[in-house]
Amino acid sequence: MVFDWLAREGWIVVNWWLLVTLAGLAALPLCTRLLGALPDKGYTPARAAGLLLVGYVFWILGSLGFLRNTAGSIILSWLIVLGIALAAYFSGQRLNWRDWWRSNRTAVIIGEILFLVLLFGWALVRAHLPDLRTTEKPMDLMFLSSIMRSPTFPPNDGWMAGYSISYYYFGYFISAMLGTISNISSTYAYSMTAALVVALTGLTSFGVVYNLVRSRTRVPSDEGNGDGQAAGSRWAVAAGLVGMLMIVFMGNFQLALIEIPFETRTAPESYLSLTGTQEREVYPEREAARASGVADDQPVTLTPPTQWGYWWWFRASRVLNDYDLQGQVMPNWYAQPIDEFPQFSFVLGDNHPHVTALPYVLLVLGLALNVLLKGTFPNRAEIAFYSLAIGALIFFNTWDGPIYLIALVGADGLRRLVRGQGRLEWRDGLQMAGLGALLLVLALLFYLPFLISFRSQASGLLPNVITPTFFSHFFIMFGPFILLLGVYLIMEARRAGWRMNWSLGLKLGLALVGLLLAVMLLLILAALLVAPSTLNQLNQFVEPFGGLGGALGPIVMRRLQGVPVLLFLLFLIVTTVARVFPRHLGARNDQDEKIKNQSDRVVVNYPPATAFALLLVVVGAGLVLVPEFFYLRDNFSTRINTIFKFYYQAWLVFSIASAYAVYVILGDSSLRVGAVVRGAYGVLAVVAIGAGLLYPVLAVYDRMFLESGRARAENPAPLSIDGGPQLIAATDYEAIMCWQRQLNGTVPVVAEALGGAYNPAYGRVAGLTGVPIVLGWENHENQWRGATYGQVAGSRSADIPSLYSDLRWDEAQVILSRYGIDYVFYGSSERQQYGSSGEEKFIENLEPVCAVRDGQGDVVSVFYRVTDRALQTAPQS
Amino acid sequence: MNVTQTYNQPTATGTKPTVLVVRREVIAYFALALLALVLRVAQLDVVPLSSAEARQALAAWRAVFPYAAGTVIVPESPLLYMLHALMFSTLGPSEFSARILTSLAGVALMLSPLLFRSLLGQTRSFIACVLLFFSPIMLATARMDTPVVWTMLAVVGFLWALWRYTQDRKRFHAVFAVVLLMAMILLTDPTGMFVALSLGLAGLFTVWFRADDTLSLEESPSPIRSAIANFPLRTAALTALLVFFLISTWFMLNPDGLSGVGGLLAAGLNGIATPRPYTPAFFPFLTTVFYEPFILLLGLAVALHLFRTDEPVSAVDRFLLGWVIFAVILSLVYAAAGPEHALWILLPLVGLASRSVSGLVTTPSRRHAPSWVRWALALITAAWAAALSVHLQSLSRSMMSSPETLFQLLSLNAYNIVWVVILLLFLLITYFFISGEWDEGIAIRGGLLGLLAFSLVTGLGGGWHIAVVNADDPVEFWNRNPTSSATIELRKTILELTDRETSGFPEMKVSVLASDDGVVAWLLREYPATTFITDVSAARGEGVILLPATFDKPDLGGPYVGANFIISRSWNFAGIGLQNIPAWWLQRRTLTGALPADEVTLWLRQDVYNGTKEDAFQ
Repeated sequence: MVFDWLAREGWIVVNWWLLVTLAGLAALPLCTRLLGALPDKGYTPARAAGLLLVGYVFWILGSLGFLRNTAGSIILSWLIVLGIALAAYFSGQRLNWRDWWRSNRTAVIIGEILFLVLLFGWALVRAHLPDLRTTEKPMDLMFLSSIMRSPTFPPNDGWMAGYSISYYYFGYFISAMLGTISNISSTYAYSMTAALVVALTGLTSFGVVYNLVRSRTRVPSDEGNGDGQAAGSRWAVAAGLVGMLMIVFMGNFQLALIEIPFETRTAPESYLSLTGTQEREVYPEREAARASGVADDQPVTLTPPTQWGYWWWFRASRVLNDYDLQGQVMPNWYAQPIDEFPQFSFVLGDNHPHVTALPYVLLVLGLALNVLLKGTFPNRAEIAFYSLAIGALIFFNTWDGPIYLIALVGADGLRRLVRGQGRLEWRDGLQMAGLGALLLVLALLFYLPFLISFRSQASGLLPNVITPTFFSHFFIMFGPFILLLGVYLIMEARRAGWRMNWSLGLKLGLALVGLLLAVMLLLILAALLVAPSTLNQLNQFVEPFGGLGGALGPIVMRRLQGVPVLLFLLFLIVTTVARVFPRHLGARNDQDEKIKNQSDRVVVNYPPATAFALLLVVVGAGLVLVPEFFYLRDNFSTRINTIFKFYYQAWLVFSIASAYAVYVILGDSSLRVGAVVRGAYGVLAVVAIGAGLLYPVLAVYDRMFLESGRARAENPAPLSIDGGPQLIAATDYEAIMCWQRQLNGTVPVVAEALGGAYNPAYGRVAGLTGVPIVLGWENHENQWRGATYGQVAGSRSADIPSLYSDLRWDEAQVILSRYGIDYVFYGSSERQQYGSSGEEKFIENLEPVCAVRDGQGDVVSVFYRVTDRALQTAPQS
Repeated sequence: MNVTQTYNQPTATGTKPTVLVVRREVIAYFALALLALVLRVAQLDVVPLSSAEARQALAAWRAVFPYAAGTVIVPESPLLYMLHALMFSTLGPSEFSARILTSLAGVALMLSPLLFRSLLGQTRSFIACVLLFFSPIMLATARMDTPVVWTMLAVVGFLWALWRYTQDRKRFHAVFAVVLLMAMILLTDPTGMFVALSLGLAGLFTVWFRADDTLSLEESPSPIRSAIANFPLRTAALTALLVFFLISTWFMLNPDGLSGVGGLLAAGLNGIATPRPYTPAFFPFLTTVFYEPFILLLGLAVALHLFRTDEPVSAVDRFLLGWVIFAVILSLVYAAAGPEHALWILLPLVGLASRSVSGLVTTPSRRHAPSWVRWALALITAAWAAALSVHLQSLSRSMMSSPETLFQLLSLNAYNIVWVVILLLFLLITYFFISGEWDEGIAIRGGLLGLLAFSLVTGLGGGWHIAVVNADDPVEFWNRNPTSSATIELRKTILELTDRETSGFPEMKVSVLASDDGVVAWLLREYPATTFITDVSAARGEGVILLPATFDKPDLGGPYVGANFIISRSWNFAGIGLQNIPAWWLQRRTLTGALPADEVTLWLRQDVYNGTKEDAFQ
């Protein structure tokens, strides 16, 4: 079966491998120049950099009106990138490729194998279940199809005819670019995107950790070429693979600690109540029994994973559970925090921006490491490249931009710190701020065509007063990192000994918490002053407690429940700061005359790589800490998205830091670590990572074989990465495919039924073809367009039902003319929602196209072509 | 060889009189250019555009005239795109305005050996020009609006600029070379990148071939290395980028013209594996063999000589040899090559052949024969060849109708056969007489010159047949799926209809079930109300409809009157039969005629046909 699939669709995988490799080769000369401080000279991030650069050139030239959306334009963009890269390469000192190969051949070979295996492997996973129906996949497919269909940029919004996409769409754009040039349909490109993201994330994460570990013994040189003694290649490769496993494959502890006990009913219900994760607080059958007055003494049922609940693996992304002050789960369940991690995203298969951005986020982390290792202030070309990458993150997944801008500027701060022997002057701070501002301004300039038309749903900050994170949830979510990093930081502190600057660490840590608390309080105050309605809401909120005074007690108690998380995060921050900013020598040896004369001298005794890993720890801790105090205001008005987006990035940075920690403790022979400690840490690492790796094994099996029905089917369907045929009713699919073949490059406007979100039976014409429909998933459009939605959508949501239901042709003529509708689709959703009586007017006045009949010979799916004649003629009925 | 005319102009100041020197060489080149111009421009508008030409022209026309019906077409030759737009903006869209600039470029290409006069020598460069003037491939390509002409012009300009730069180290020449190289690859023809590759390989061949020979100082690789080391690459690259940007975007008047460069690249890469429709494999090479056999033989002779000689071979000849080799390889491996790509081979081949022709003309007789002898023999040989050709044609015609037995054929054509024998004998006698009287060499050279003259004259006629007389005839080897001249009738009919219905203004609504980037779309270029449909039902009730003739009785919702027009015809070589090959080869005569490959029916609604329209053109 697999070989049959390879024979049919293997060429697509090979094609994408080749295209991405060519993109990487085009960017490689530039990477050797701009990422020359990395031990592998930018080889492992080159593919991500190549795709980003080719995509950017294609997009910006298209958006400025220079290029049309054709395969040829993509080739030209590739050529431009190659030209720039070669020009950059030949304009300075060239790389000694022989030395480079000798030094990095293991990583290069392993990296290539890794990329190929992950690409083919995940394509094979998708071929078993090319799901396009569930969750928001129809939305992702619509973006992808719309971009592929649009003749020019900015691309059309398939669910809002007449308007361009108002969403961060660069990830879709790059997928569409590859889909266009490989000449495959969007339904294939969707699956290939999923496989590519896994492979590219794997390769880039492997590269970041590899470079981090290899540079562990390196000291930044004055020349800024980053040359120095490097760590062993094999250990670095091993650490890189561990990092890749943590980022790409590892899951959280929800499966091991919650799901398995829950599904097998092996844990007492009190355990579930204590951990209190979403929808896993009680056994539903026992709760039902209790509700009906039956004794809840049902026995343990050791069910194997093949009999677990539908989509059990989904619960791993719903660990955090927010409660109101009365202790009840927040009523709006859909707005409970989401705590995805990469492997969950891959198993789910949504090609959302935060997923497709993963390789590029890791690329920016590679850039940040390069800033630190290079040892000098970035030159103009590097600044341009960094800002291009930071801007791309804004375009990929807006939230990532500022996060990694801070990380990049932080790396520059570390560079200054290392060069200044642990001291940062005010001037350094100002220059760092200047660098950050410059990168931001350039990033905004580079992506101006996107930013001027983009309407974010974020509209300020809201204070988080009553929903701190419980330590149990925090541990289930970040358990592997808590264990691995916790031990590592203790060892770093021990290693630093008296140089640990606990005083500074504590001051900074407490100042940070104080600052966040102050911001939270200020937000409350500002809300009361700016929005008078807030006071009424506050009164309603405290009313059950007898007023504000009565509510204060429960609020304080609730906040106290979040203290363990706060303390752990403070531990991470304080220890890291104390380690990174070492104490003055003079402060300890004030009796030593010799040192007294050098009282200002401080010593940095850690390698830059350690500083970078510690920076990642602080960034991760900060990302987890912020939503404890406030969150971004969006359509949900809860911290659902802030947790989702921040925790996701925290997972990445914690993974890299943890992989580094594993290497330092287990692999660095220069460290004086006892064999017992080393062994214990090794066991801890195996258990922690192993528990996390249970998730992909069981979840992928569940999706590939159980959910797809292949495990039980006698004659399973042939493997295919094309999920189109299963997306909607067969007759609808047949009609849409027939109609699509007649389009000949034109982009008409289509009317189809208006329906709810998350339902693939709506918005499907746009989803499969990219041809804009009048209105798709309404609430999603509302989210994407924020305050402008009403103005943009107008009366569309009322007009579409009227178009289908109203029996009068003249009314239909008005609606058809209003939106410039060229075709009306009448398929299964339309018949189900509006009946067939409204179809009569179309039958009488319009020409049917691609009519598909059911088994009884009745037309069930058909397009009606709207002609000028039909719009001008008087009603026939 | 100089003619000096002196004009004694009376001047008030008593300064020296102005002397105008006009050399015979100049007059000869001028005459060649003038004749070439006439041959390339005459009747340029009577031959309908082919589908490839129509696509290129429509791409530019739709950019110039935004109301034109049909979708935007991404061109595959940005330079031609811009030139078309320029001509359409000034002269309007027509076959003439689409082709004229390429025709002029063809004239320039024909004269291009003149650029290398000091390198090749006076005689050899002139001979090369003459060979190109008479070349049927040159004439046909110059008249068919193909970007390959521009590619080859860029090639010649690039080689000239590079050579000049190696001589004088002027920055201008270096910059010019890079600009032309860039134009060759990115602005002219999709195959430009491969032509550049073949040139690069030819350059390597030049250095490699006979590298062990003692080379003269100017041919030493060291000046080349020095030229490379001092090459002003940055200035040249920036200038090339600027030129590239300005030309592809028409000086920013049409920014998305840059897509055309992408279109060119995509088409070029696709062409590696995707053959051109209706075109057999190795077609450029076959075209060269078919239409330029004598040039090919002369070039081959030079190539063999270069491989076998022990004497030093000049860098020019080594390069030309390498260029021919890699051009032939390219023509054999590039799947999407058409007949116009025979120019790849022709240009270097003419360069090589000019060496041997130059030898025929200038090599002195060993026994001091008078100079008129070789020309007299050449004249006699040419006359003999012409007479022989007449009788062979007659024979080949009779072979088509005669039974396939040799005896009957001989009895039916005894007259022609006798004449062939007599002419052969006469030629032999002349040859032996001259050999005996003077020397064998002068006899051979004279004979070859006569044959060359005959082949050149017939080649020119052949070129005219390809480009004009047989332009719509698929029996002509050159033509693959040519556009039928019946399309002119279709256009006339539509114009007459427009005169009648909308007083000549192109406001008439036309529904067309055809590709919107093909010949039919070009015929309707001025009609903005044209609708390109994909389904017959979309045309129901319309006044003027063009449908493929395969729709016998389409349901158009009422009474219609239809007339068929052939868009293109095809001819199957496989069915020709062995005895018919001579007639086809010599005269393009066949028993099996061409059949319509693409035919449309013009359907007029009954009231439109009657001239009592209702609402068809509202």
